[in-house]
Amino acid sequence: MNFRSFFIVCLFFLGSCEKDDICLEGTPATPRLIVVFRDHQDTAVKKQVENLVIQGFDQEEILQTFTGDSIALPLRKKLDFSQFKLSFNLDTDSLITDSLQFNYDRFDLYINRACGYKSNYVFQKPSHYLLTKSEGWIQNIEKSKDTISDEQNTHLVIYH
Amino acid sequence: MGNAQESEPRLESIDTIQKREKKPYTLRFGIDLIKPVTAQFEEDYFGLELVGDLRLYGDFYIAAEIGNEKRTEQSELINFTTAGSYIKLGFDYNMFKNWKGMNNAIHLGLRLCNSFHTQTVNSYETYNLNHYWPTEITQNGFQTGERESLNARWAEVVVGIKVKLINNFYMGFSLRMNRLLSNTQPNGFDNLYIPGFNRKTDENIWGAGFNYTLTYAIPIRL
Repeated sequence: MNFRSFFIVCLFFLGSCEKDDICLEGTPATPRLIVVFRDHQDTAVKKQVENLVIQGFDQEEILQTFTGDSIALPLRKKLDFSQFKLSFNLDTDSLITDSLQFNYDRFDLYINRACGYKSNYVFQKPSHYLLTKSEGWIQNIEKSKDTISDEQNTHLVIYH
Repeated sequence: MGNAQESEPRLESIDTIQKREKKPYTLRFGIDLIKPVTAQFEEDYFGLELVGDLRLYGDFYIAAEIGNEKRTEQSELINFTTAGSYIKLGFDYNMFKNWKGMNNAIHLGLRLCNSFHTQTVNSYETYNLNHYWPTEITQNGFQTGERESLNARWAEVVVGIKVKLINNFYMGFSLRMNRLLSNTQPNGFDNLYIPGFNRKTDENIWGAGFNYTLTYAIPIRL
């Protein structure tokens, strides 16, 4: 009797273990900035960019060479802005480059033990600077969301 | 008939004598040895637990534990410190049938427990799937710092043994299964560890613990 109840309690101890330290796949992480490319002449139409080279300032490596009409840019955690250089490699050796700065405030939200905290962002005013004047390929930039809290919405539109 | 009537009162009186062989109340108190030993080996841990029980009658004991813990843990991405005190109050029932003169125990018990604690987020790394920018550990921000005036309440099922060593010294070991009843949720964080309750897992109200006690018993004759 005594040892049977002891045994039952021991079983409970075994049953209370669980995989608590693994952050489950699909848990929303810190969102990236979703940028959509549109035609500056017909603003309703998405316009692809081809072989756009994206590189963060101060970073040795490029983020990616991108072809498509919408891209997700990771934001810097340490500072309240991120700067990117967006360049087209033309047929010749010349480059068309535009440099952009995004301004935001970061606030962190608790998820759980395994995943810890994720960041959300709120655009500051102004939300961005076009650091290169006139000679670039970007015609206009428009903010379409005030907060960056997921990757389902478009946060920024670049017209070119 | 007459014979039986005569012998009946005599039998009763023998029973009464056996019942009157009354055990003294026993007050037993001591400490949990695991916590100070752990504190010696782990830099980020301090713990102390005082234990005590009092035999009321038969095999029933009132039992209590009070303790204090301070503990820093590097979880997956969060470094946090939990500090606070707890009290556990309840009873033990001794299921071990001792021979005359022996005083060992295999006991089963229940406790109602309460903690008063703080949680401090020291630093954390945010959860990112993309690692293009250098990783940054946040040490000063919106979510770091202390969350105070927290408490938790839980119930414990206790199974343990106590063995008499020499004189009035006892060595004991107990296993505890905890069920969380309520806890104040810290702002922007969770009670990942609760003093006395130990580790609290996400989405699970069950916990576990154990102690290893050295106690001294004083018989009290009233």
